[in-house]
Amino acid sequence: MAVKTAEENGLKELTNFDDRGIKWAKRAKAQGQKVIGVMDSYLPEEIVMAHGMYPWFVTGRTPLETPVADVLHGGTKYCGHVNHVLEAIHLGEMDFLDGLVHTDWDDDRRRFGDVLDYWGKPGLSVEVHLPFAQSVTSARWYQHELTRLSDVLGGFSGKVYQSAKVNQDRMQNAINTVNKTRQLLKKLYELRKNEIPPLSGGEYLNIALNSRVMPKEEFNAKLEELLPTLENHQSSTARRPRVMVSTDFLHLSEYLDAVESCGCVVAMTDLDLDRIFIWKDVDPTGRDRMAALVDAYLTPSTDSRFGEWDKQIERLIARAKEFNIDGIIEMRQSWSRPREIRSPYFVKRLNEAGIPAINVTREYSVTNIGQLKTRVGAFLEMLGARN
Amino acid sequence: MNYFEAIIAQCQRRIDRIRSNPDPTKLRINELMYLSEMESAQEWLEIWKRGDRLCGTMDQAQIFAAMGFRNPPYLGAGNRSNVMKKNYFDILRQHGLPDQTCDMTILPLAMCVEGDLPWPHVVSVWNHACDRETDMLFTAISTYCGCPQFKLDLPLATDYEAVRYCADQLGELIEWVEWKFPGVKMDWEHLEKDIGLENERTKLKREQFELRKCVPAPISGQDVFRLGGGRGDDKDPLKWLRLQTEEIANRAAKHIGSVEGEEKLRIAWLATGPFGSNVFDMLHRKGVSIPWFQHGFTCDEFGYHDWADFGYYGDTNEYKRKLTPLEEIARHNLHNGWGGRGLERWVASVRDVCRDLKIDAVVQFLHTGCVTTGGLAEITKQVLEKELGVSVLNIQGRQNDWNQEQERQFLKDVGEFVDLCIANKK
Repeated sequence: MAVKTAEENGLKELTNFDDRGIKWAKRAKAQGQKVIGVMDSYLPEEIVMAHGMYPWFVTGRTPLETPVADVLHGGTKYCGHVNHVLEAIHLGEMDFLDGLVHTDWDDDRRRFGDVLDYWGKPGLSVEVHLPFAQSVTSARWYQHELTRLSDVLGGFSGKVYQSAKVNQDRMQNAINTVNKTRQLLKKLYELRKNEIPPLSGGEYLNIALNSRVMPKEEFNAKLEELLPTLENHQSSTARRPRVMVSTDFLHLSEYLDAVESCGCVVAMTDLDLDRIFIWKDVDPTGRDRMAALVDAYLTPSTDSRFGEWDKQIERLIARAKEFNIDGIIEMRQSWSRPREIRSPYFVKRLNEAGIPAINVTREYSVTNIGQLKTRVGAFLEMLGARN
Repeated sequence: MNYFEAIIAQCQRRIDRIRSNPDPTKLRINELMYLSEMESAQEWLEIWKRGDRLCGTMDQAQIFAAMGFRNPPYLGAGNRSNVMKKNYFDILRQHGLPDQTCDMTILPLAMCVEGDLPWPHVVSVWNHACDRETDMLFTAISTYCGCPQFKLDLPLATDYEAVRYCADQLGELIEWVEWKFPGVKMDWEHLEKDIGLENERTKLKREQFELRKCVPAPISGQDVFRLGGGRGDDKDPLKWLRLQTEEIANRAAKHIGSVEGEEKLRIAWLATGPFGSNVFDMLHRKGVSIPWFQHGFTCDEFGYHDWADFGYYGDTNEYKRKLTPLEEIARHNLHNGWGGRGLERWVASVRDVCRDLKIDAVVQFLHTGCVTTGGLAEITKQVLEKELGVSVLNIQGRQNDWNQEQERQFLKDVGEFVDLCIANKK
């Protein structure tokens, strides 16, 4: 029997994020499911799934201008992701959403929730408080918040389940399904340790994004089929230098393509999309499933939002060594204040650890690529000379 | 010359000006206020020289004070950094730090780096008003100077469960400080006394709020805009505030206004200002009074919480019980005007205050880097215009980085706005 190639095994479908996954949300809606937008990676999709609804990761529209959002959400010196999502909602591009859940990750997102309240759309809007401290006490509060979210979604779903046991079973099923997604993505990411990773940085990003917008069982099946064919697949990027890109709310693969076009391979990423979601399974064995969700989603990471910068950078250094990284590019989104203020310390600590690092700023939409490539090019030259 | 030395010099200049040419539209008590500030700055110099234990915090100052720590006025220094005549923005840029974030909450870092303010020995912070910015300031300060940091978390909710959650964390903070600094012990009596004082302070401020309803406004824009105040003495720590309240009451009873000639317009000013601008002089000359300046703490400071069933320190009605000292502090911080959900908190409070103080127009000063207010500015404007018929000017600027051309344009824009409002009012 002929062995299928990666391309034949649906590589193109999984690495294509051109329509931001809207077709999947519309399909779910046509099939009678309520679609709940999930604005950030700290919110367990398992909770949405347990109530029989479809979780859909919200990314913003791609054109540069966001005129309505700029006025209502304060101007151009604000989070691009939030403004692009607001603009899309205003233009009716997300009218398929029955509701949207988001955290107060920062003040941009808190005000995002206020704008939605003022507009009265889309349908249900639930803001969940994401603790700023990572302690046992704060974890208990997050569990309280996620329980509240679950109660609200339960009421909204319109489905009446027969018993608490049925609810628990549905949550268990959701946890098992999403854990499978994590495990498959982990295997995919492990292949980045190859001398030549099987996929480009942009393709990896799009697969991670698709994992959050496609029906989970379908995504799992496709990735499971694809994985064996990737083991011997090689991307067409350079072999070295191997860089890690660290940022948040990066939803456009063109940025990673631009970095690689300068002559390197994006051998690893440190994104909100992967650092929180992929690396720790939700414990399926404990009785308290909500506590298990909190434990997985609030695991200390590299997120600048939480303070403790020294520990965050230690974790990043460990990951960089694991993936044999030559240099780190912090590609922060404009006006991301936690990153802005952490940046000098971030670069200094990494340099002290023997890992060259730079920070560059980008917009949410693809723009100023030339300027980005100039800075990255100079950094790569320095890495090349060093090696 | 460090920050405290510069403040002493500035206060002396202001006292000399008041004594040589007193302005009848300003409060006479201001001279005492500047004297208090000089004494306070002198005291800080001595504290710094002695090496007393210092904490960097916005909202846990009372707790640290009860453990023998002093809390330097980092944010106040950020606001008044112009007194140093030094370009701290250049210093930020030299260190790769952002220069487009809130002045008040990033300049103190530059001031510490330059040796103009002392580094703290410990830092504690929770997300709050100036949510990210203050949190990040103290995180950065602790990283730069290597002092320990304790992070707390303030939720969006304000029910009793949220109060307990915050109080529990404050308890953990105390245990942590006692462990980190052997010999340090919490003085609960000191804390209770401090909270009792806050209660008294809030009652006096509430009286002042009521007096501001008078027409003409008995207090000038400059005096409303002041973020500090004078001190009392050991016998009466609130002496200055009592004297200030008496003077305002006296002016209100005699219908003594605070502008040149007839009061033609009453405006509210949100949420900070260009420090050092002469805009208040211009407004004064045009007969425009400013009975209200609202930032995140103002409503709480003045005991004004008509948007919620909130009681200030000592109140047993809100949660149907007497709160412990830590719960009191938690409650106080949970209700900050810039925290929580914006429509219920900031927008509603601005609307209600404007209605109560008979405000004709509002100036929203949207300073660079403030997502907390900038992200709600247009909504606030639309609500005020629609529900109260009040005109609103949204105007951008910086608190401290201000040049002559910006000042000229700013005065022109604000001047034209108030002229139009006055003309429409007739």
